[in-house]
Amino acid sequence: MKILVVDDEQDVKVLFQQRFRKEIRKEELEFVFAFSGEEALKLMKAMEHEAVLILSDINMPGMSGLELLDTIKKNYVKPPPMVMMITAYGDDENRTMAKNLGADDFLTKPLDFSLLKDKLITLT
Amino acid sequence: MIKQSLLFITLFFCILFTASGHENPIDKNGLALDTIVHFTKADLDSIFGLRLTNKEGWIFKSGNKQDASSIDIDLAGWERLNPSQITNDMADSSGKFEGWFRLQFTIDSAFAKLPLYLDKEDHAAEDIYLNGKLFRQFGEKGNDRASFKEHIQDFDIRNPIFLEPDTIHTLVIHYVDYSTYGNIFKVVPVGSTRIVTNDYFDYMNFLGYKVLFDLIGSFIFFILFWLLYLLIREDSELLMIAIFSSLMLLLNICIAFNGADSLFFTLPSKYMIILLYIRDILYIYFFLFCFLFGYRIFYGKHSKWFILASIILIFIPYYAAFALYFFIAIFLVFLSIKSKKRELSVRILLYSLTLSYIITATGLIYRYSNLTDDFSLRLIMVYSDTIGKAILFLGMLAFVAYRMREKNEDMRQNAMELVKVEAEKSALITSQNEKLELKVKERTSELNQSLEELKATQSQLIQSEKMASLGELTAGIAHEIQNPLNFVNNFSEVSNELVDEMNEELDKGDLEEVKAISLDIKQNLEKINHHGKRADNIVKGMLQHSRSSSGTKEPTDINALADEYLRLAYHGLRAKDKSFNAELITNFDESIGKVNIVPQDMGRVILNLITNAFYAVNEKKQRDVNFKPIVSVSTKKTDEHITISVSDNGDGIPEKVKEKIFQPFFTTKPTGQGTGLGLSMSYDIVTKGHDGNLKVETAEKKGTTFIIELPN
Repeated sequence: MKILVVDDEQDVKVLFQQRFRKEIRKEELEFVFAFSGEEALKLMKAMEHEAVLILSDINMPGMSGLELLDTIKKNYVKPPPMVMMITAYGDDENRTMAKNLGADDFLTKPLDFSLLKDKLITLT
Repeated sequence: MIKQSLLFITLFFCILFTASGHENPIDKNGLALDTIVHFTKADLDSIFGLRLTNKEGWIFKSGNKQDASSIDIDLAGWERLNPSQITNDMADSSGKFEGWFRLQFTIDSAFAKLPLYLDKEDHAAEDIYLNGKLFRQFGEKGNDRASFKEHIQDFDIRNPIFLEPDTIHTLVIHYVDYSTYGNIFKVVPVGSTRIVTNDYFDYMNFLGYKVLFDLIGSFIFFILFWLLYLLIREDSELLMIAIFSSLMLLLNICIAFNGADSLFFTLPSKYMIILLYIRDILYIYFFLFCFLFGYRIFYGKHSKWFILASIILIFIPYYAAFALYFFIAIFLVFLSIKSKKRELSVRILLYSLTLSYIITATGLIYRYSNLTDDFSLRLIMVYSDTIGKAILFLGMLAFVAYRMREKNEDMRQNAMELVKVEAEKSALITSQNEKLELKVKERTSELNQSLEELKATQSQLIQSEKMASLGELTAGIAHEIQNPLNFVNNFSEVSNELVDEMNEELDKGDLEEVKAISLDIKQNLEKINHHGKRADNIVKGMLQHSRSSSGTKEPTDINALADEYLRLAYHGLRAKDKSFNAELITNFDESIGKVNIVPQDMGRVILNLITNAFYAVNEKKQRDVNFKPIVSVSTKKTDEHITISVSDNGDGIPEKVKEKIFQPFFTTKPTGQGTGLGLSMSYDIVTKGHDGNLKVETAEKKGTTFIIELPN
């Protein structure tokens, strides 16, 4: 299962590659990175027939994480990809909006990579 | 016998009658026709000589059938009549009166060697014969009215005669006159022929000078009073005096040619009649004027009754008007007595009016009523009108002079009063000014205090505005700091794990892997360092923003400044409104390099413009869900300027609002959401602080672009 990480911060890619270097090397986890909602949608289209787990930041210029979530949940009905929302702001408003839009899980920054790793391994 | 006796008696009586008639001729009335009149010195008036024509002894024969100029003539058909007895009905149907008058007289020795002359005042033409010789002609008899020339008196001395005393002298007058205006009396008593001495001519010439004196005097006063009136127009009393002086001049002109008091010669009767009529009216008005002026001066107004009486009096005969004089005199005396407490000018005028009135009236009454023959008294009476008029004129002059003095005094008093009032006013004004100054000082101090408070409030407001914009940034700043901090945390955690992993690989002796891990660790450390600096910059920027401006310009990367504030503003807004999103477009001209600006101030301007842009698009988004907000920030360098443009595709600014956006405290935001100082402060910072310009281009419904122009 491919994990699509969407964040406008370029360094997220480096962080994920290093943090999950063993799992990547062992091919236990496979990451794809997008730096905006729009780019994520393009990649999603390319990976139309693959099962995808999406890890998305909420605060991004242009299309926000919530808009991306909304689009994915509306456009990919069968089977809807899992979407985990990541944001620096763990406030109730964003959490409620994300849940209402069909987010499967909700993580707050800074990411607890151990927890994330467990969740990803469980899901994949 | 009886018949013879009757004839004898008749003849006797006839003879007797004829004999006595021849010796003592009588007229039809039985009056003697041969009376010889004897004149003594007592008959000779010292001035007017001997008036012959009213003496008894004259005989008269009408017509001109007989030349009666000889000494001895037939007196049949003559009658006793003297020239002063001529009546109007004696004229024939053509209005002509012609006849012969004869007088025989003797004189006593008092006339001896006294040069005597003939003169007369009436206008009849007369040929005068003395002792059978033509002695003097007055006028020309002519043959008819056309060739008739009336006598004009000129007071020239001609042909003296020296009459022998105790000798019978025969004086014959061939008398011709024509009626004028149906009246042969005309204006001067007919038959005024008299024998006069030199004294008469001296007196008449003396009178001539008196008339001339009156004429010149009244002319001078006429000029003087009119000049005075023209100079002081507002004085209605002066006008009255001036009009009166004109009437008086006219009166004196009439008098100058009226015969008795004429100026060296008289006028033909037809002119004299007019002048005398005017003179008589003017005399009446002279007295009425005294009444009018006295009334006017005393009561300060005209009498309506006077005006009415003046009109009526024109139609009243001259002598009838005399009846009024008495009442006017009483009235004037009454006014004079009552005027004791009045101003000097009023008293002077009333006294002079009264005096003039009484003198003139008395003189006239005496003259025309012939109350006296006393020459000295007569002379005084002749002069009374001159004296009366002079008193009146001088009185009026004194009145004018005193009136002017009183008016001047009044004016002086008024002026002094005014000065006093002005001084009081001035004192009042000074005291009011002092009070005002005190008040002004109080107010100024209050205002200064208010100003100080305002300044304090202004700085507080400016601080508030800073803090408000800082507040808007807080969320963005938190996000911006949180992200690098997360990286620092995450990279340091990962590095920690990598170190453990590296140790494991060392134990395994896989040096290649160890090297790879150490490279990763190094990269992580750089990342940590990078994000640490990133957080550091944000904190510094925040501090810089909230700090008071140093006012010092320093080379600044405008692109970085704009970019930073764009992101901070964006995240700030997003933090407050999760639903907000906008496309951010940046177009930075990299050739700008560093620009000398006050970074805190310019940052504040850029932040303000960006915040406004976000606010504008957000407002539009609220109404239109399909609206895609775009906010763009661009910089550009030209030869003259460096421009920083902040654009949005919001609703634009209405024209009315556009005029006010740079005014302090103007805001379109709901109460509590904006201080209204953002754009005004921005404008000041750009224009005053950086010699630049802050312009706005806007189109309603399409969007707005704010352009900061800074000198290159």
